Amino acid sequence: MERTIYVEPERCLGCSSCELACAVAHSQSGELFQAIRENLLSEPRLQVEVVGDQPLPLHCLHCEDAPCVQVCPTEAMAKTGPGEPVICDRERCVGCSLCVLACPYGVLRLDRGGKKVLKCDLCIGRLGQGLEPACAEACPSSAIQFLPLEEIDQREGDGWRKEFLIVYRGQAALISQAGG
Amino acid sequence: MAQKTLVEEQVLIQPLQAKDRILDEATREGLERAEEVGTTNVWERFETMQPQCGFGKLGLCCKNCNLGPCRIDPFGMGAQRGVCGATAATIVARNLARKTAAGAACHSDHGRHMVHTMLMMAEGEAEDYHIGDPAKLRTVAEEYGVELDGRDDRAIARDLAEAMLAEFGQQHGELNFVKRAPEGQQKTWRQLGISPRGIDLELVEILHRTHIGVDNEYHSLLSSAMRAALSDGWGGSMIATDVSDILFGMPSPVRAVINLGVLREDQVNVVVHGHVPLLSEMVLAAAQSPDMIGLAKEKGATGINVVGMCCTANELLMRQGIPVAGSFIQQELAIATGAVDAMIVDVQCIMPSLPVVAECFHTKVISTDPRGHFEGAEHIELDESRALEIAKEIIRRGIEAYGERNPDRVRIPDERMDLIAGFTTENIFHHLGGRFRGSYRPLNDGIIAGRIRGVAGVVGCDNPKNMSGSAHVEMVKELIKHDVAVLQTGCSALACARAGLMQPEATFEYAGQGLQEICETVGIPPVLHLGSCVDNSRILTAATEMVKEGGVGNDISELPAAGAAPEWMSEKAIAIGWYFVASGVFTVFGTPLNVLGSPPVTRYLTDELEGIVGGKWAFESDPVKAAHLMIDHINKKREALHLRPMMYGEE
Amino acid sequence: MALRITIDGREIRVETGTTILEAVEGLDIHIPTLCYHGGARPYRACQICRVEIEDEQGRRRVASACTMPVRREGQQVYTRSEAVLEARREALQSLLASHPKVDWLWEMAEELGVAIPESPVGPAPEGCILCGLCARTCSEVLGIEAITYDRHALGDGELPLRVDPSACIGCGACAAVCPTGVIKQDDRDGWRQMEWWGMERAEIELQRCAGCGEYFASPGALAQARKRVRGSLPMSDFCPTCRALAARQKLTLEIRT
Repeated sequence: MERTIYVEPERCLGCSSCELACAVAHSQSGELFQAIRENLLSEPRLQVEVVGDQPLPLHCLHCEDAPCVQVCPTEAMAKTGPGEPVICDRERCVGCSLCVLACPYGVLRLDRGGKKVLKCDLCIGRLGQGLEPACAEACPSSAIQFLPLEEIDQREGDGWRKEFLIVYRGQAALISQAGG
Repeated sequence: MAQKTLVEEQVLIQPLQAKDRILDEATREGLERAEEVGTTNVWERFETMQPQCGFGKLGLCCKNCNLGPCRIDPFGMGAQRGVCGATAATIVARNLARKTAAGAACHSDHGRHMVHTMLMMAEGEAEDYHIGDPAKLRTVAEEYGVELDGRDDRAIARDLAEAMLAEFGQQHGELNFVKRAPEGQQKTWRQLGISPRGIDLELVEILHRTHIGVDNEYHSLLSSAMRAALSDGWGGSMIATDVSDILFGMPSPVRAVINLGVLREDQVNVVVHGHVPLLSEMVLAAAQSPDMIGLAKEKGATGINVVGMCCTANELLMRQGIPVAGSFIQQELAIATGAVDAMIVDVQCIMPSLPVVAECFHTKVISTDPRGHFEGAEHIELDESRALEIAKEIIRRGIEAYGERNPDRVRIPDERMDLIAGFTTENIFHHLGGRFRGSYRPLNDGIIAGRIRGVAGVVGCDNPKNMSGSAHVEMVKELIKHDVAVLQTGCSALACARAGLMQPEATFEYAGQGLQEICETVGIPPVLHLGSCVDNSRILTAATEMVKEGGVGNDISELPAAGAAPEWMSEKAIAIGWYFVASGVFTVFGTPLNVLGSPPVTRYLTDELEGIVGGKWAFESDPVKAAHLMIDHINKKREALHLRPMMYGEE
Repeated sequence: MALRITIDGREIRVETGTTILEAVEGLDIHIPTLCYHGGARPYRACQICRVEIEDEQGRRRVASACTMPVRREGQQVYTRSEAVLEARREALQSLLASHPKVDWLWEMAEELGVAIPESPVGPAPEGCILCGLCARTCSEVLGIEAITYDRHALGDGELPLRVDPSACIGCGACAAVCPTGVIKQDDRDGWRQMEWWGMERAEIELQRCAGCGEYFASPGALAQARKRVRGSLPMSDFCPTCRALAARQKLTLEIRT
């Protein structure tokens, strides 16, 4: 990946446009007005919640040594290589929820049908079409952006690259707790 | 181990932008120039605003109280009720009702302004205004029960003005012009309790109802929206149209020119923009006065070129044949030609960015209305009691500015199109029947015989969301191809005029066989320009005349007719759409109203309403598909009336 | 035009274009059918009426007798060959898999003398189509082996799917993969109630979150997750919501300090 998601929490206004765009992007039709009428309604893969008085979108961090990949019994959760997103192959997912229990950041959950897990795929389909991830595109205050890795390195150093694929501003506190 | 990337290339592409959908050459050139000069413009701001908020688009955002702001999650996971307990249906309906009221308020306030000036004139306080059409004065006054015998125009005008003003403050009963509507509509409105009682009352009540914890049920809210819209269509707008005709004369068919190319390098260019002819007619009169022309010539200009934009352009066009520089969406581009010396504005649809664009040039943006202020504009307020004097002051500013014009920075797109405008309910009579037998009979007979399939009203704004005007053109071409006669107003009319659809030649190039025959015989274009947006009331009265003439339906809902606003933008468009729907007309909007977040409300608008008021909404952004929705609807009405099949077969 | 053909060694004469099924009418050669009716067009839906036909070169293939027309002089047809029985067995297998509670099919299997060793034999619970996904998921995929597939039960006419409730870790995967919803998972009042095929049950006490106290996981499933992760599982005694909250707090630390 040459670019990745960079989140600046203090810019988050809690509008949930990212959630809406994520749900639409992962719906059958991919379009707002039709997506809200589909039989099995789509769901966002990230959630905006408030901590104190600061709202924050919490993304799957696409950990380099992802626990969800380690526990998945069918290898539905997989990372094709370092610096790549962790993708869940829905066909293979058996809904065992081991990944839900394994994720240290609690970002995974079963979908409303109860049979498959909801996993951020970094909008891999959109990336293939030259588009940004839906959340980054939708964010009206640029709290979520899709930036070149080098630019992020300038702001955060490059230590984050060993641990995760997604970067939050000032992520150092999280890194010390990750993995092993 | 080789690293395999999931995505080979990460070139971020630029998807198709709003400006790529512009088809009009002048607009394209004008935009290129604006970009070259580096000034802000509506297309660039539209792209910056993307993606626009999904909650807003769905109508699921409510900011009415401080328990909020609230939003309903259309995917069912987040909040399903506002903090006060409102459901999606309540929020969507409240929002729609408020917008309807705002739109109706514009038209009605415009009407009020006209009436107030007529009163001032009648009382000798506004000597620059006159009675332009005494016959219409008497016709309308009679409808208001004003005594006519042995009284002079001024006395009649005074009583008429008082009677009309009273309707703004009326608290019960019914607005007078409701009586003009066909019996069927009047009955329906009374039965439903939506016959408008008083113009201001209907709007105030909506503000009340939509406050937290008042009207929370969508049928009730939307009924009040319909009533407010009717207080506009058969109230404020109709008053505005009729009083404009009374003061400035009834329009009659006139040839004119449209598009940015009407600006002139050799003259002082004064653009009048906004809505109220009280200003624009005065500016025109001032510009035509010998002393002003003399002043202009002193500065080296060959004259003063007054041109219009937006609805006030339509007012001047219809009555005076004044050239039209452009529509709503082109307003910044006019300034960006570098040729505009003064842009004079009053109210509605004027972009607050105009003074910013003007900063790149010598152009003076002058606001004139106490209700319409702009940062960066000069404010020279129109006082009706000294209208011409103030208008001359404004023209003087324009002539001064001409002296500061830099001819090297002038780029006027060489695009101009002829058109015929000036059609009204009254003069269509004469056109159709000839001088001695004014009548809608030929139109009705044409419909019955299957030469004309039906009638469509295509109106409204232009919007970068759609095709910056060209959706109107595509729709109207499709309609007239299928022998549907088209009546137009507003920026929609201007878009089609730009494309040459309002010339007699258009009949042979674009119209179907049957429509061609009628147009040729009667001598009208297939697309008739009926005026400004308040002049949508002319479409209501024209429809009523068709009903009265007989044979094509017992009330408006039975007519083989449909309406559309393929590029609607303003809240006024919502009010217009509502008063057509409530009057029994199937109406298609180019982007949905902000209601899709509530499926029950959406169903009510696009389906159930037809059984209640005889009209309903439809939403379709493809203008050709939308045209076919209208054609299908018209065909259905033809069948229900057992009219003869189309003479020249079906497509 | 009349042709001479041989069915099971017997020579008969039929008109060209007659189907094989029609050809044996009235003779004491029996080709079983399920979806065929003299009054309706043949439909080839059940695949039971399979027979074997031989071409000039002596090559054989299986075809449906209801729609196969006789066209060749000297055509050979076999109605009880090994290939035919195999084909009928397959057809019945697939019918029984979709409709295991239809006794009639079991009777036909018996009647035709078709032994069906691969297929589950015996009545199955309402809604269960004996796809075996639950067993495959629990045993092969997860390695828990609480649900197993017992082939030896086949001959005894019993349900070949078995569950050992005490071995169940309460992950709910069996309920998730079951296509007909005949395995149920219901979380209520701190207990996870599993029910398999309306026949067996288990009640698993859920673990409370060390943070908020909400019931969030089955201990067995949590243990499995811990086992499979390399190293330790941070915040494993906390529910996903609390874990997310903790993450959010760390991520906004810089803003708040």
